[in-house]
Amino acid sequence: MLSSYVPVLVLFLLAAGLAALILGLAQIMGPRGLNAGAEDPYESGIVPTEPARKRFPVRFALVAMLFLVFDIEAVFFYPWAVVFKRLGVFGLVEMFLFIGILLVGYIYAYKKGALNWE
Amino acid sequence: MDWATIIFYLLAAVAVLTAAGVVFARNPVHSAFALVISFLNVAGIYVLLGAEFLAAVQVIVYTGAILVLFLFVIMLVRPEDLRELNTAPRVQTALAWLLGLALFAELGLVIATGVLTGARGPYPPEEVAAAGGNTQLIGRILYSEFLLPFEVASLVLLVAVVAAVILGLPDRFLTGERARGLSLSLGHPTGADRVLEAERRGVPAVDAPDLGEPGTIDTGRAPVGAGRGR
Repeated sequence: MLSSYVPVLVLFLLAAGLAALILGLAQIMGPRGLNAGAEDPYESGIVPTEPARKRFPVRFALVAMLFLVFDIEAVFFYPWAVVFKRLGVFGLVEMFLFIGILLVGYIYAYKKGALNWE
Repeated sequence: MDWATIIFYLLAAVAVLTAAGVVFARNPVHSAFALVISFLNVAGIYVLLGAEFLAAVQVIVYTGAILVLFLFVIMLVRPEDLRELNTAPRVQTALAWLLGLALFAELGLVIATGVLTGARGPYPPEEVAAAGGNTQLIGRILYSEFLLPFEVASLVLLVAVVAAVILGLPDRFLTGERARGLSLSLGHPTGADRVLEAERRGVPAVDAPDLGEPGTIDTGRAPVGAGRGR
């Protein structure tokens, strides 16, 4: 059973190898020592005027929470999809009921303007 | 030792080490990223156990959505407040170590002496294999035997949507005085962006005019809960 995950392992090894290659090459071929400005976020860009760590609008948290809910809704589709034929019309109806209840939530969020970024 | 055991110990070691990193990291963003790695390693352990669906859910929901929520919450907090994160009272630190070590001793004792194999459930590995896999079996059972809990789950999610909107939406988007009274808006009558912009311009937050694009503002000096209680 685990042998079917060998491609995944190969992918991980390739990803790790590529990261090691890039970092290693930068270590070998890159210039030594720090000149002025090397520690800036954008060495050859605009000079930063204030710290990057600022408070963000609460809007981001709202979007994240809504995403979380509909992400969990999507998770329920996976086991449903693999046995869809077996469940037949019954499965279709119950999933539509599930989606219907959550659609109420979507309409609520939409009507309240929670999805608008003004 | 076969390969599965070696992989398990690798995954478990990284999961435990990064979990410790979550606790000991001074920067909360570092904590969150350590938690990502910990979650991914736990997902790997689920795969080893043959629970592919659980592994996928672990990656999609926990690392994908919940960690994003964590990061957004960290972004909402003023950076100056976060420095005090690891400065708990001495008594609390001592108590935490004591209780943590007690829990560790308990778990270690159980693992060392007890029998950790529970009773066989109605769906042993042979049954799972016959159903065509973990995900298929979960689908078959969830959408027939556990139909009602599944539909109730949608109601729970609906409540979560409503709660998120009530909590996260600035007051000015809600209509009517009663709606205003019901809204919490995380302590910001007009949303954090407007309050902070108003403070920066020296205007009282309550009379803050409509100020265009949010998100570009914040001096980081506004007191917590500024403009609360209008």
